[in-house]
Amino acid sequence: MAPAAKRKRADGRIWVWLSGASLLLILAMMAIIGFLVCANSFQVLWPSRLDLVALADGSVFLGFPMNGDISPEGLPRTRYKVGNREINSGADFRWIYEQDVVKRNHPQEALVVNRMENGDFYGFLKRRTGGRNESATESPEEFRESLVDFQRRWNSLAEPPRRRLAALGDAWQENHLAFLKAEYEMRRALTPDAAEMWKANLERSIEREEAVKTESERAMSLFNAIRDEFQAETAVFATADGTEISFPLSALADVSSPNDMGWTAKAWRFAVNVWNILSQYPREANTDGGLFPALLGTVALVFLMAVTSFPLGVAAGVYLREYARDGILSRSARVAVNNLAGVPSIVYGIFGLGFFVYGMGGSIDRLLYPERVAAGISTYGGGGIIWSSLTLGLLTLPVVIVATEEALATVPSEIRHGSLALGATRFQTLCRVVLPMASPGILTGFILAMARAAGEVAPLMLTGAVKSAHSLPLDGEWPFVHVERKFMHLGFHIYDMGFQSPNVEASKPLVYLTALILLILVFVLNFAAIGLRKRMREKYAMRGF
Amino acid sequence: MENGDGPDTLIVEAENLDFHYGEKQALFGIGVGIRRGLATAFIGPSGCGKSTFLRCLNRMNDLVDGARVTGRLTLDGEDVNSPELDVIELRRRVGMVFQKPNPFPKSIYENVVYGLRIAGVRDRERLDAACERSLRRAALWEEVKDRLRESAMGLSGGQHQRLCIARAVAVRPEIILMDEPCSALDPRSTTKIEELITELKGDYTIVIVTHNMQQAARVSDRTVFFYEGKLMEEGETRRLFTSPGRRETEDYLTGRFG
Ligand SMILES: Nc1ncnc2c1ncn2[C@@H]1O[C@H](COP(=O)(O)OP(=O)(O)OP(=O)(O)O)[C@@H](O)[C@H]1O
Ligand SMILES: [Mg+2]
Repeated sequence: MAPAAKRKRADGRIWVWLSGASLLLILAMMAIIGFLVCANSFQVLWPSRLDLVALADGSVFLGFPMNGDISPEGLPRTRYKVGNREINSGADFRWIYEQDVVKRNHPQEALVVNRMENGDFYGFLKRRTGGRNESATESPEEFRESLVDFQRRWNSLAEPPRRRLAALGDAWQENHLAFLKAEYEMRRALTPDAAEMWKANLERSIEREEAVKTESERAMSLFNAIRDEFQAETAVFATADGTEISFPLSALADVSSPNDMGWTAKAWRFAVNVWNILSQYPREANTDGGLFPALLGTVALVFLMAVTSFPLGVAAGVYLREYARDGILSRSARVAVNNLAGVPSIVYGIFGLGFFVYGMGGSIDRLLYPERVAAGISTYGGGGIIWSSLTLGLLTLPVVIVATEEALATVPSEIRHGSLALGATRFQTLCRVVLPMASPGILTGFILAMARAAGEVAPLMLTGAVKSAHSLPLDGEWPFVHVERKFMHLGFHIYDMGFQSPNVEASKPLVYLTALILLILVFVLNFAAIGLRKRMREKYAMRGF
Repeated sequence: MENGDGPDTLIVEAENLDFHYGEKQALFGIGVGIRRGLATAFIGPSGCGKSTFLRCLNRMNDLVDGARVTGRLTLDGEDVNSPELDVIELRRRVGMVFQKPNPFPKSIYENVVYGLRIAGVRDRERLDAACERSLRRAALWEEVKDRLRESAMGLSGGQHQRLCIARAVAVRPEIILMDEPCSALDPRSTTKIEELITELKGDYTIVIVTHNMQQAARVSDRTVFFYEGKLMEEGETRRLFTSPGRRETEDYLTGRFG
């Protein structure tokens, strides 16, 4: 062996290199994930240029170039998003061989029309008909303003009957439950008086059902009348090859002309898109629209989980470290807790389903709502955000317990003795000195556990997350927090859009975007943990020890 | 002073006190009286049980698993080890300063009034007054009066120890136990603490454990010599240092062991 090589091995430089390389590898992978997610999300949000492509066979189309590669035959090709689903027989995307392309340009007046159904339409505006000021010569910008104006008018008129209909639906639901209860109680009433009372209730609810029904029909016909009236306002567009197609304005969500935008316009558009994604409801089986319910569901879930698992975990950790005698019992408890941290999350899901949903939820239903159980309606026993958050809480509990124990162990015994020697009880010492000193460690561990829980999906699928929920776990309706409701969740949303959707390809960018939001949520939690730890460390710094 | 050994002058009396850490016996038949208002030094080689005896006085040994004490130990005639005795109350009457300064990671003010707060004192003025009085007694007031709200962790080691003394003084104990209070400090801080002890005795009974013979000679009125868990000799400091009554004492004082 050459002496130089020998020396190298002797001073272990190779290990330094190897460990550095593994760190580099990890960093590179993180960078790739980050880049992939950000780039793809950016593609959804940033208004990019719309190509008008003329092909060798004489056909033309409008579309967004997505990505390119070399086909198996060795020819360069580009994948275009071409929209116009009903014209292009359902396909959103199309591969184009570069050799077939005769010409590409970017007409200023090309429009991207985001529709309530059927995804995007790319084309040119021809005219607007049926409105009070119909026009054959509107510019894209003017058309956008007309559309906004139309939507304002439509919302102000259609919103009241729509809200009325929703309220009537709720009233019907409520009345139906009252009906079930009256019917159930009447059959099992012990005294004739009680039977009489429930019978009266039953008749009242039947009457009320009739009233609600007629009222609903009235509201419905009112709504339909308004809709029909607005339906008359349409816009006629032409596709790239000149085929004319007309849509009622009420079917359009948004229009934009990306080829006619400067940087500021594009940036503004970007901001609007971000806001829409965050604030709107999903459309078309989650392949379009926003993520609001999923975002709210995730935040509410993590919050509920925190509320349950934090006090429980800290209390258990405190007991184990401060009060439990070191014996076979406390040691096996510790082993159990550590093992619990390694249990796969789907197992927690199964436990949550069996214990929380069927066990606890089912019992609550049988106890409080026997009539609904008899009618096959579940309230608590069919999965809900409370059971999901309890399951997640259980999943994070070991982490919180271990973090608490470790943080408590770092508090020097001299400090405890100092407090005890001044006549403090153990509990006072714990509350006033030990816990504040341990709090940075406890909180850091807890927030990291929360970040992990925010991204957990498997247990939720079994205990209450759904692909689309008709109501939110938090809303303006008493009691504001509806813990028994099913909910949507970002992680589950990714799974649903990416793998269960009827149009996976169309929702792919949205999958990346959802992933990005989930990542941001986790990052925010982690940074909060770091910031909190720093602040607490400063406050309870142990300098001088 | 030498003569008045009556119950009035003795604040602590131990008689035939045995102490066990589980199987291991650490104190053997200790019998001693500690006089009110004086400074008493405990000396002896390492591991001879000085700290153990000190911790018997405020029952800090309760915190050790398997600790067992037999014999009689009284404070003002009250049995310290009686189950009826309130340990909290006892520790308020018998304060303690540790070898390693152990201020809480709180503000200077909160450190000083800690003992009062946990005793349920809420009154602002009382707390403020106690804070100032205690810091003055601990000769720390002038140095910290402008930054009472700042973290105590920013003080020096010597200041930390004086803060701990102030913290002990704040609850107005009858006795202050000090277990090698200067062993982690530099000479100047040591001098300060020694001056402080001379200041405090009279108002408080002081018991100080030390390995520094000069220190014992300088600050204490009486000295107790422990050896292998037994009390070897007890007496007026000057007398014990100049004419020790026992061989072991003389050997220890002349540095032949320990
Ligand atoms: N918590 C404990 N558990 C078991 N044995 C102990 C404990 N604390 C002290 N001991 C033992 O009791 C004996 C007396 O200890 P102690 O700490 O009282 O000695 P000391 O005189 O204070 O010594 P030093 O001068 O080194 O502080 C020693 O042999 C020691 O090993
Ligand atoms: Mg000691």
